[in-house]
Amino acid sequence: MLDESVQGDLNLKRSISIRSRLIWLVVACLLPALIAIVMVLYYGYLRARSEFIRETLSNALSFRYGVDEIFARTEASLLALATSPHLKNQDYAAFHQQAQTLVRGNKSGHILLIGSSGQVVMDSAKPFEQQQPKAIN
Amino acid sequence: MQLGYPDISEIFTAPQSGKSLVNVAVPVYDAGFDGAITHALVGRVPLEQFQKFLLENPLPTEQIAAIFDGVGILAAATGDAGKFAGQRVNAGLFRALQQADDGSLELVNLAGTPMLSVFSRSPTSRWGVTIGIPRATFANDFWRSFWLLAGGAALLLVSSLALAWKLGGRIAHTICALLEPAVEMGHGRAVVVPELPIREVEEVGRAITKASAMLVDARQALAITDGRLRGILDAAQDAIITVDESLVIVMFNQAAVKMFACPAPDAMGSAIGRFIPQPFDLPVKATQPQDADDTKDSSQYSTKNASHVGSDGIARGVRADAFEFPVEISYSSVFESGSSFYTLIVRDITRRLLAQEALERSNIDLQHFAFVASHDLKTPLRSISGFVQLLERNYADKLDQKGLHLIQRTGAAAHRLEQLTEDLLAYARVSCDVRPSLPVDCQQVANELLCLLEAAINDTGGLVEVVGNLPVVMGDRTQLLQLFLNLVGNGLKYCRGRTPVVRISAQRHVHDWVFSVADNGIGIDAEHQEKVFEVFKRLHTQQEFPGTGIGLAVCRRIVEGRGGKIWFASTLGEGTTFYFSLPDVPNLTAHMSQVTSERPPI
Repeated sequence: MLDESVQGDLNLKRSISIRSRLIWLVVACLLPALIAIVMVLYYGYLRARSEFIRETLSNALSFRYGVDEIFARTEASLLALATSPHLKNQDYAAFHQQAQTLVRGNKSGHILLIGSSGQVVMDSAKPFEQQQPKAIN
Repeated sequence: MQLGYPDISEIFTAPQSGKSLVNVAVPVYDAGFDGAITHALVGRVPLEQFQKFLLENPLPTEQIAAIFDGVGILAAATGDAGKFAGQRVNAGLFRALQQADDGSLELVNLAGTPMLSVFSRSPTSRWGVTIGIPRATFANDFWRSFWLLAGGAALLLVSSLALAWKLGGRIAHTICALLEPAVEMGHGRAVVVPELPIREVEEVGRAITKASAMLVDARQALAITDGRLRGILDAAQDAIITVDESLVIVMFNQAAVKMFACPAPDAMGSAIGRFIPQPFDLPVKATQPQDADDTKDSSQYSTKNASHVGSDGIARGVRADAFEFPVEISYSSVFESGSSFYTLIVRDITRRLLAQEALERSNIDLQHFAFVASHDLKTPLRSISGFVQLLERNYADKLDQKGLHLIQRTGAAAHRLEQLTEDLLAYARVSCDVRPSLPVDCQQVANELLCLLEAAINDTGGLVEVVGNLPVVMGDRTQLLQLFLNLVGNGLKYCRGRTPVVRISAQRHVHDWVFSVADNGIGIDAEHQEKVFEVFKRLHTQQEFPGTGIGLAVCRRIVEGRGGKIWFASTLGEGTTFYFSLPDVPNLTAHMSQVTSERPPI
């Protein structure tokens, strides 16, 4: 396109072509925008993570209260049973029947009555006739 | 429990049934709560209750919930994690539980899945719950968005770069389209740049088109000018020679070819000394452009340097056949592209010198003739005048009135002719008497002048005044006295009834003194500036003001003979001031001090 002599006259080594300048211009325009978008995205991720933790922690608390409710319900049943007059009168047969009734009503496990010496006085899971005192830990 | 509070145990396995259970124990008092503990009531809770609880409170499918006891043993968990019931929770979670009841952490669960988990433990039962989500599931949204963005960005970047590449290529191609026309323009050819798709480039293209047309026009004009210049050079009567800084001939016109009898190709490249052997000094460098604007032009002609060669302006030219002849050389310098060039204009003055010599000889002969004629005429004129006076004195009674009148007129004519002859002799004497210039004290001349004109001053009742001290100048004392006599005498004469006042003064100029002789006479019309200095030229009749018309001619000859100039300024009816310049004495200060010490008081 251009005479070699003319090209030789022009000092082209230091100059940058229009094409290269345009490419650098595009890169210079797009790169900061891309970096900004990635930063916004990451910020959104952190916010979502934080939101998830906050919501999930709330759920965990609810679940914990549910677990505590299971224990509280059992505990309340036992405390009510502890006030049974059969127990004061040492009428263990009646108390056994009362305990079985309570277990059936609550659809829970069984109930043990343990004496001060550590012996199982009554086990609701067994018939009263088969009760044999036994020490437990 | 021994302290009287309900108690909840950790998970244990019943020996008989092999089931995993949890004990909840409450104390039984003897009589109310103040009495002693007689029994303990223990409720055994199966772990299925916790599993059931989890089933009754479902979480999103990707989330996993687990219930653990006070020592971190899993009681129940959702999904596939239920199979890990009875095992201890993750060590990281266990450590976190030692430090806080609530919190979050990232961990790898028992199934080996990286999880983001939160936990909460009851401060009373020490049982707790953890809910987690696989990190991959949680980060999926982020990564999905990220990769979507990355893909879009990459696509945008690639497409933008491709577009920039293509656009840059088009711009570069469009600009490069101007290169060839530009080079063509540089070669002096007219170019027409076609329409281009980029407006700015097209404007440059139009400018190139216009500039090329202007350049072509300029080249044509230059060619015409060059042709004219060449024609002028070839048609010139004088030889025109251009030499470079080394005094080597680079241009030799036709007149030079004829003058030096040497063809131009032979002369070109040879030293100028071949034709003008007399050494002459040219400035080492021609005047370089001083102003910024001048630098726009690569060449700068210096007319200031135009000068002549030789002390008297005459040099010796040598033809190719060694014949020598007198030449007059003037030169000018030009500064072009960093080099100095000198253009010599050489004129053959052989004929002029011959004519000048003949003219000088003729003048000398004429002056001698006038001197001799005036001198020789004086004797017979005096005789005629004497005889006429004798005739009038001795024969007056024998002549009638008419004869007597004729004799008186003859005497007056003879007297006037005698006066005319005297003045003519004085004029011729000034021309012939070429005495050397010596320092003359004009103050002494003025004193002598006042003595000589004392009678005339008394007759007219006028005043002749010397303003300040008159200087010492180079000249001849007698001629200067005659000069002052003529000028002051005119001032006393041409006053027409008023009392004449003449003032003499002198003013120093750079290399000379300018004297002024001012009177209050009738004045001279400016149109007679030259006429009054010519011989026998008079502005008035003999009856108005007697005279011969030679006085001012003598003045001019005296002044010009000493290298000065004479002129006047006048206002009709108010007076005339004659000025004349005379060269200063070299080393004036020393001479002035010497003259002043010798000068007698006026």
